[in-house]
Amino acid sequence: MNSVASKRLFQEYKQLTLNPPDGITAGPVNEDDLFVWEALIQGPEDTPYAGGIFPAELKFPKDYPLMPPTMKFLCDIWHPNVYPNGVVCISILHPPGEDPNHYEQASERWSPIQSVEKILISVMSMIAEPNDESPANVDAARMWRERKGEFDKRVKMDVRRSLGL
Amino acid sequence: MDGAFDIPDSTDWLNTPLNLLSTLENALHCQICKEFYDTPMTTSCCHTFCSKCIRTSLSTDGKCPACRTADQASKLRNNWALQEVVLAFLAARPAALGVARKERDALEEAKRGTKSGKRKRAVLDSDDVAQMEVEGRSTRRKSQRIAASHGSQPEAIDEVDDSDAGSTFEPEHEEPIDDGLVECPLGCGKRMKIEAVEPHLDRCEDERKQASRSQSRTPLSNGLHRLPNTNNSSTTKPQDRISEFNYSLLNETKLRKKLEEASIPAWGPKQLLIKRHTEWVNLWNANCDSSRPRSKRELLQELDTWERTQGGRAPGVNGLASSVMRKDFDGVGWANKNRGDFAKLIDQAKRKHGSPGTEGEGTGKNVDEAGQDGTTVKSLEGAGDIPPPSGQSARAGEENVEATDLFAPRRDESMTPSGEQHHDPHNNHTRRPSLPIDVTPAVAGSPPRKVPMFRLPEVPVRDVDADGHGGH
Repeated sequence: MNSVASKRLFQEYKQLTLNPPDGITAGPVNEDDLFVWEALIQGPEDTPYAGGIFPAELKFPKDYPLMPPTMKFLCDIWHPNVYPNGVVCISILHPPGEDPNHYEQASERWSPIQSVEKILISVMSMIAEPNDESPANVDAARMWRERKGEFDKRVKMDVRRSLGL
Repeated sequence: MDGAFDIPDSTDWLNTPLNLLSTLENALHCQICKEFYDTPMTTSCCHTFCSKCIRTSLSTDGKCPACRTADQASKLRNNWALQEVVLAFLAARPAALGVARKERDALEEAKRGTKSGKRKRAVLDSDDVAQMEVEGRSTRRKSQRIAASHGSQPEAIDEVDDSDAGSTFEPEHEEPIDDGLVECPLGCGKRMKIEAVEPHLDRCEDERKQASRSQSRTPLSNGLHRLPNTNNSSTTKPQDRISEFNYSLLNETKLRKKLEEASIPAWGPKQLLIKRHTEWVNLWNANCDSSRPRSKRELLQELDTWERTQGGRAPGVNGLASSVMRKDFDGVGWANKNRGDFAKLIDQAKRKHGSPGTEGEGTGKNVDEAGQDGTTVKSLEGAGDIPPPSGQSARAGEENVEATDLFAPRRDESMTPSGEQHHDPHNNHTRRPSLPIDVTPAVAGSPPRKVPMFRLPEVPVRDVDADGHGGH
């Protein structure tokens, strides 16, 4: 039973394993089920997230790649574009079509030509440069905008805690 | 799944001296499926994708995935040139990869700089070639589906090679011998005394006829795998593309009829019918685009794969395969986690069962629930055309009276044992007291009483639950 989705996921898995982008590791949690992946993203250098390793879970729909996966951080991450429950809010993960809020252009949204690799790279750059236009975590967004010092300190604390320091 | 593991991949070129070919190979990949183009089609905005990929994509949101310009499937055009490039690359790939790997190994060997390495390399070479051949064959087989009729070139060359080898060897055996004998004038190659020629001629002619018959048979069977293909493409080529219906204008019954007319499965709720028909239209039209179309039967098989992976028989939200339970399924944990729900259901069932007015309804509902929970019913019905229980209950009004007559007893027999097998862990403690599953076999067990699932039984079934909980 080889669906289009699992074939493509396998292809992407192979690519990501043999030719991984910097600071990103990803693959299925269990090789029996290609539709649930775990990814590890390194905190980008020169940001308060530097040094941290952020595990996340990606869940793929049956009709992938027509529809995007969902992504959820499995650790605490204080970020304007990550919901307090860990779900990532980024335009590349939003299904194609019009955005009811008109925050983002259709061109930024999911399309079948995107890939896991592109998602993870986008998330990495999102971590480095939050987008506070449509924040998922309003408190974090306000803190980031108004009290940058406090924001950085809190993020660094989280990172240190996650590393067990 | 095994087939998926030897997908040729652009990363194969990395770490070889030909690593730039990795970019070339990526350029020959469809951006939707990330595999080599299979029947590439160009959109009106000049982007190229596999026929099936772009058709599916367009039927989802009507836009080109690359630039998001609105487009229609009817405006797609074949990109034959690209198709040929892909096929040529696929044909050259195994050999090129073999060379690249050999080169890489040689370089590594050279780095180590040992003399004994040389001898080893010689051994390696033959291994490599063997491996190369194996790889070549497997990738070629893989790409056969992709390969168009012009794409059979590599095969054709192989065949020519074979026959060449045969014909160049034969003449070497022939040497002009001067032994006073005459060669058969019919050219069978036999030599005989001149007197023997006359009687030989008759025999020879017969033999020749036979030989020619068998000869004509061999080339035929040799060419068989090519000839019908060209035939096929000429006969099946003019197949008309089909179009999607305006689904919103059709009601469920009409749509079901249309699906039956197209001889594709027609069970399930309307939403599923639409999805299935869309998939079928895309499969069919992509097949029309292909230069090597497949038979309808193969397409139906593909539709069946779709059904099992994305359609009505797809694994549920929790990712469990429809008929197979996960190896490490934590039955006890599941039972504990859902204890409250189970208790509630049992309670409900008991209550319903207690009031004779709602008797029949209660039974039916609970069988349904068992089906949804277990998904075992699906696999049991697998062979038949009987819709899964959810669909069944959805159109309860239509044909259910007969359907359930047929259906209920069979399900009851098969349901109980396999339900136990699959869901032993959590059913164990819920099954005992739960009435519906215990009750139904008993109901169906008395053959003369055909009780449709949703009709009230004339005879109260209440006595059955007496053994369940202490009697009334």
